[in-house]
Amino acid sequence: MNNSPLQDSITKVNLTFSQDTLEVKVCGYVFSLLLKLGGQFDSVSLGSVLHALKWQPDFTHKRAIATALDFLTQSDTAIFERRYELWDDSDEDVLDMPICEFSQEDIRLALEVNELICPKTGEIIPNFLDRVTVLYVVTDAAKRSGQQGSGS
Amino acid sequence: MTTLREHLESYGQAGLVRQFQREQPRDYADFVDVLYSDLDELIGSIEADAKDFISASEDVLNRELVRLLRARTYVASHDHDEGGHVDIHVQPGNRMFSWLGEAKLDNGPAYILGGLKQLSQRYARGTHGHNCGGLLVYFQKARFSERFIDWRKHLSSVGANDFEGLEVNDCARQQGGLAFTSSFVLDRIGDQAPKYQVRHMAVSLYRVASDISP
Repeated sequence: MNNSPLQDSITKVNLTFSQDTLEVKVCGYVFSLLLKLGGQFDSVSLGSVLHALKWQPDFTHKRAIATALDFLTQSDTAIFERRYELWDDSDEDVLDMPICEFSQEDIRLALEVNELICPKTGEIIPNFLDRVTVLYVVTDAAKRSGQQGSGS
Repeated sequence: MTTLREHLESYGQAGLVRQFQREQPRDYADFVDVLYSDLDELIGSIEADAKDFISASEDVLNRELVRLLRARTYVASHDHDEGGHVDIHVQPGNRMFSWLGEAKLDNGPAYILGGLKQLSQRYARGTHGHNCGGLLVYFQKARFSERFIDWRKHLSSVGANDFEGLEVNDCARQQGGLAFTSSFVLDRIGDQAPKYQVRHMAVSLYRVASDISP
């Protein structure tokens, strides 16, 4: 398939989800952002999508957002890459990068043993559930396909 | 920003770990474990919509199952070319492993046996990471549990002729006889390697006319 990530994703969403589902609404929102913002579209989170769509914060809506965003992270033509990051939460020195990034396996192990170790320093991260953030970052290929799609 | 705690609330902890298993399983057992949990749930979904599938063909049913697997982010395809066109081909997100499924409408044990032979003789690789498969039997007639047991009995009695080292066992995960397992030596691999494991699953699609709304 030589289509862009955006076109491929639209096709896959249409083939996989029924048109009246919440997942399709989430994907439609993401695609519209890609077309509108192109290279300026950086990332979303579960919370930002919930807020943007003005949905109730109940399990059904949150689960649908998670399902849709995870769907858009899969395959070679992914729209997103999911990242688990730890940012410095002190008031000093604003950083433009996380202090630590975790792999999916780091997070999985942490959930199993209820302890998260920083892969860089080897230190235990206290209160990791409330300090690690989860972000869906737009891939470069998806940004380019959004720009092409919008003609900009 | 969404914290990991808030992210977890969208899945439940077990649900998030299952998503990890679908995308990047630690090993083959990890992949097969979550796949079988999902298949049990998805079969339930199809059965809940039985009125839409009571006369459906094998192809229609297989495509529906593949669609549902893709929605759970598996790399799944119908009619995948794997030494021939296997009905259902499933991989985790990282494509490190595979699982093959052959599906048959219940047209009697001899017909179903043909499906198992296709799976084992034509499609199954049997090497590490590709050593499990499934046989789905779609029942569109009444009293499916008895007919499923008939299939199990048929396999146990005549299967030894066609499947070297055949063992047929209850499925620990699925109580009530709606699934069972078989294992046997694949001819292309030989008996010095682990046997090929097949999970047999019943899908009940029968509804009496009064259950179907006009």
